[in-house]
Amino acid sequence: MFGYVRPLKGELKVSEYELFKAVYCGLCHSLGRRYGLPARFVLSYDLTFFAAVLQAVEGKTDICRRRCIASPFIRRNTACPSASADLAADLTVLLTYFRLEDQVRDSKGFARISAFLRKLVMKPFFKRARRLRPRLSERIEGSICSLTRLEEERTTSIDRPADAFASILSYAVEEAVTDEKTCRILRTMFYHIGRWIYIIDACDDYQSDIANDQYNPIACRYGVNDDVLPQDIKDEIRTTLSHSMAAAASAFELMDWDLWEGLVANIIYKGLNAVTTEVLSGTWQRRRKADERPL
Amino acid sequence: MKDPYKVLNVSPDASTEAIKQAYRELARKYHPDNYADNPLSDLAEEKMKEINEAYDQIMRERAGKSSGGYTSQDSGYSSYTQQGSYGGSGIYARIRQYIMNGNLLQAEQMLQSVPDRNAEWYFLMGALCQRKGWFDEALRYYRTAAEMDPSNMEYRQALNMMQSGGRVYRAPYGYGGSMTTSDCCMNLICADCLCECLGGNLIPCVGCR
Repeated sequence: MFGYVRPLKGELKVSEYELFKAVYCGLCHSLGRRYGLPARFVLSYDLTFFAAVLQAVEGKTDICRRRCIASPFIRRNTACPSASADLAADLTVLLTYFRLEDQVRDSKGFARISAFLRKLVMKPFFKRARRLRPRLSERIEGSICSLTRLEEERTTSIDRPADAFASILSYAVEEAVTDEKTCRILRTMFYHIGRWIYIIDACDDYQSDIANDQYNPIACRYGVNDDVLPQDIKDEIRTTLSHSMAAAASAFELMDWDLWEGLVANIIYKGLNAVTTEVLSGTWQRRRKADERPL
Repeated sequence: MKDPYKVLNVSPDASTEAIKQAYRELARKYHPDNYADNPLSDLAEEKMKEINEAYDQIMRERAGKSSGGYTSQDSGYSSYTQQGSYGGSGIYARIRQYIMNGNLLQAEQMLQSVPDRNAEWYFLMGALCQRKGWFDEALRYYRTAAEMDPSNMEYRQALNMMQSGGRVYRAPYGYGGSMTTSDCCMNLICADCLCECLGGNLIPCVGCR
């Protein structure tokens, strides 16, 4: 999806890092199994986190050894197939498709053609995901519709579109978690993380949106169009984001995470915070690329 | 019932000091401050109860083994006294009640139906948004409320809370928020005032035991 939700690698224990890698590989295999090779390229960290959380709830930690195109000779530790990874895979496809649709609508020139072609490739996968998850995809479509409407209205609120986006993750939780209490906690946690993702993405895209004269939630909210966000606005965004992070953390604390505690805590407390700092200071794009390779 | 040592996350042969330490840390984590205006406060309360019970049980067992006997001291950190007994009447009092009980839909409908919007209306909209997790809108409403009625402490404190980054973004392993002690005290006092306005109380329950 976006890749903002990720662990702060330097602070992970080796065992936690291995666990995260295994979930990552598990999700990739699930994408391959359910949709085929091209779908594996839209794998993201955000949904790896989602898969990890659901696997923690499921209580599954079995590891198998698998080969893949990225590692054809050496088998890698991979989380065994699970309902959580499958849901995360379906969600990956659905969200990627909607994001591409959004890009086709919003961008111009070469970017538009590229998005259009990628959308074409994703189309059969999208259809399949919709067939597999009719209720979820319908609810997501509803949220995307209200999100698009708000964006077309050029709303001056950032919470309204963020709410539409964040509700998607809450729906996905409802799809998988049956226990009422756990569901409440995770719905809340993912709602706040979803809000965080939406706003951080808006900050990240701010410069290019301004340069290309496109809609940007932050620009509309604060009524600015400077090339670089002024510092006082950055501070205000930082504050509002830290409210969301704190709220997600307070939900996180209410669950029993067992083996997964360290990994999930790292992402919630350190990962989100580090990305916030980097996006706001403008060093994010560089780190994102540096971080992408070793996994 | 769960194993009390597991609840406190200590080994059964930990020293009493270590257990007290673990208890204090957990009690701080699930303290009502951290879950005021949080839709999950009832779950935090449950957790707090579990921790208190586990602690009492261990202390009782250990005291029984030595001599004397341990009498559970109640109160501790466990005072979740948020039942609203907000004095006053009229529609705003009822809306407050709904927001506190988490009946946000009802509160929102009632707020939308109020024709004249005074400072209290903006304050309550802010409280509603905060509860929903719409922190930016909450900030804006609180700001308007504080501008319309600058002498009102409640509005000003709510605004301060929203502007300060809120509750400490506290991490398990020594990766705390960037709050200084004075910030922390200030926030605590603010939180207490807020609680009192809404009919609860905060400060008397901090740091007992």
